[in-house]
Amino acid sequence: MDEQKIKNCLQNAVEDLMPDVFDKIASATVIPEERLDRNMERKKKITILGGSLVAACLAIVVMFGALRATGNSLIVIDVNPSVELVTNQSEKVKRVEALNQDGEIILDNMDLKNVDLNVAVNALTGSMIKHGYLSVDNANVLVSVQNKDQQKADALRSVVVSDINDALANYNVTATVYNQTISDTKEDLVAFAKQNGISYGKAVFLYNLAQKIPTVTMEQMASMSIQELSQMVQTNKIDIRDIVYYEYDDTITENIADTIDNINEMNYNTMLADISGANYISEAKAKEIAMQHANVPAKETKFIIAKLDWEDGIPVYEVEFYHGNKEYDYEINATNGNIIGFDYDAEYYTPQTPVPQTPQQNQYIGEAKAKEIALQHAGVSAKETQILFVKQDWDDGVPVYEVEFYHGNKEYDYEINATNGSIIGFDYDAEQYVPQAPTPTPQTPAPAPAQQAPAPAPQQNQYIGEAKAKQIALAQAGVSANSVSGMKIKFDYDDGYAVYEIEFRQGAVEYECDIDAVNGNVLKFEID
Amino acid sequence: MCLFCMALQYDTVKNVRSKMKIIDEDLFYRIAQGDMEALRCLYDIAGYAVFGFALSMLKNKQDAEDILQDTFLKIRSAAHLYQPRGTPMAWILTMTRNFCLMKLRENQKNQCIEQNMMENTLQYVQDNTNRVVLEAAFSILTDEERRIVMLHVLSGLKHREIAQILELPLSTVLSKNNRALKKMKQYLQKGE
Repeated sequence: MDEQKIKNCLQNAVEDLMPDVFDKIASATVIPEERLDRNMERKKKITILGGSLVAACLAIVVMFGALRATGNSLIVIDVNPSVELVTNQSEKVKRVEALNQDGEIILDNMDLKNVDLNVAVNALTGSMIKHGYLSVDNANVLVSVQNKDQQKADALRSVVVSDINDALANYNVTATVYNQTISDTKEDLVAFAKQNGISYGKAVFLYNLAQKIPTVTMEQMASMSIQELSQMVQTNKIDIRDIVYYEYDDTITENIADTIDNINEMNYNTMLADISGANYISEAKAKEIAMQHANVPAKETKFIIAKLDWEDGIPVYEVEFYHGNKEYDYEINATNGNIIGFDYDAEYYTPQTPVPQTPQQNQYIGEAKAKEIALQHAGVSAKETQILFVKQDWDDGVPVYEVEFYHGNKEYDYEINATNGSIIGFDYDAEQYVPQAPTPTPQTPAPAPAQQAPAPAPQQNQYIGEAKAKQIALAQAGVSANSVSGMKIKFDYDDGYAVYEIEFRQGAVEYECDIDAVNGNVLKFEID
Repeated sequence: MCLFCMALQYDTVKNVRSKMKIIDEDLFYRIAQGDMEALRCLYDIAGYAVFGFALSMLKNKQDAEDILQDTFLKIRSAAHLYQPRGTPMAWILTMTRNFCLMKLRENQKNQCIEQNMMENTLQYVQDNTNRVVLEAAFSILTDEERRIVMLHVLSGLKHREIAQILELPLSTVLSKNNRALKKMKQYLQKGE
């Protein structure tokens, strides 16, 4: 069974299982939400800080911060086992999640949903003792609460500490409870971040890392990239699992980068407050820079959004806007206004006049150039590749060259702007491609290596023929042959299958249809 | 403009569905206005991918069906909050993923039930070959491999979009997709 067959079988199996629940969905009563629950958009990752005070001991870190979207509180108890609790404003637990295996042991199938926070803390503390994470010999607890509202943070910390002590007393265990260190150093770290042009998240990470590598200062590390920090951690064999939100599947670099992002995300409000009095450019200025660069007047843009974010420890504004049929994305350094990156996509293009049927070749870069750009980008040499096709096409009203080629067992697809040669998109799939023995029959010639040469002409006795293929495509579209224009038909191989690729237009509507050259089945049918 | 909302032959539907990734973002505006035709259109375009992705994560039909409903109810209640960013399918499937993660946490207590539910689910697949392939995806692939492969096969999303939804590096998605398909191929060849 080949890979294509496997994919087809999976599609068919899911098709069989697919229920029709539309009526249930349509008839249900729904209440429009005021704000989108942020957790539904992206799972919140929380960075665990601490551990430097009590390196090998037990630690409980409670982070408390109002989730911007919901007003709920997010609390993480990290006892090496990590458990995440989300509470509402009445401090009732709305959700509990074990973040690692030890956390699962601690949770011990307890249903803590809708119970008071203190009850939950009590239950978790009891469970820690029961499972040996807390004992008479090992009873150091670090409680750390982080909140912009210091009073509230202190109050919550006291409550949690008190709850833990009460629970411990029941088991005749006296714990040493350490208070959090984050807020004590927070202002210093904010200042340090500003001085060094790095994010607060990176400053926090460096602070924690500096406790583990006394020979390197925070200032020295501030200029290091995430990659360099990662290498330093590896070279010095430093265990950073207690200062990052550690995921075993991720590399050290990814763990560090995620950690920094998460701290920044949690401190978004603080970050905004910092910006108001700092040297950062304003949102309006960022928008202005982007629009100026795109050469688009402000009054002609739509949906403009500027959002402060962090990219590799650098504060950036992400500016997005629409102009005409294009969506622009800019990343602008919030400190100096430099454009770090930009991109745009053409969307929902509705041509006002019929799209020209034949490209004006003299305005385009040419197929040879398009191929060269694609190969260069893929980092492969022309000799080692087998070009399947280079063809001029339209995508969202933009003239493009589609370049498809094989290198090794990989099939590359490129879409290159035919006017300026920029790469609009690319993708590749590893295939079980064997040029010498293509399917479906041994007689079938291999795809031609020459760039301009079309795929081998099908042998009439094996394939349904172009005329039949066109007929099937037109029937699929439900249109007659004399009502369409720009009919193109091309014989090709797709994943080892011989196919006719057919394109035509009826008015402003473009049809694309792939027909199996052996049995005439419609493999793809798209309307644009 | 509502693409692909047309009656197609059954066999074609399966093939076209894998390409169904173009969602007119205007649909969200219309859904927010209570336009049930727009909801139907979105359901027809994205429902299959939502259900298939949920199935890849939960390995049972009943839970995947619940997630399909949860996702679309969420869309109904939050469509007015949708911000056009050109990635509607990723927005939808990210919600699906998060609903699935919650469901997984609920289910994690009982592995035995999970096994029974999976076997029960496979009974609904009529064709023997299709069933064997889905069973292989459930049993021999890791959770991550299965999610990547099925998302790729069912949603028509590009690898980099899948990487974004699953919060994985692109290189991981590419290599795991490749590895998983090879693994399935070898496994299924043994059984032939």
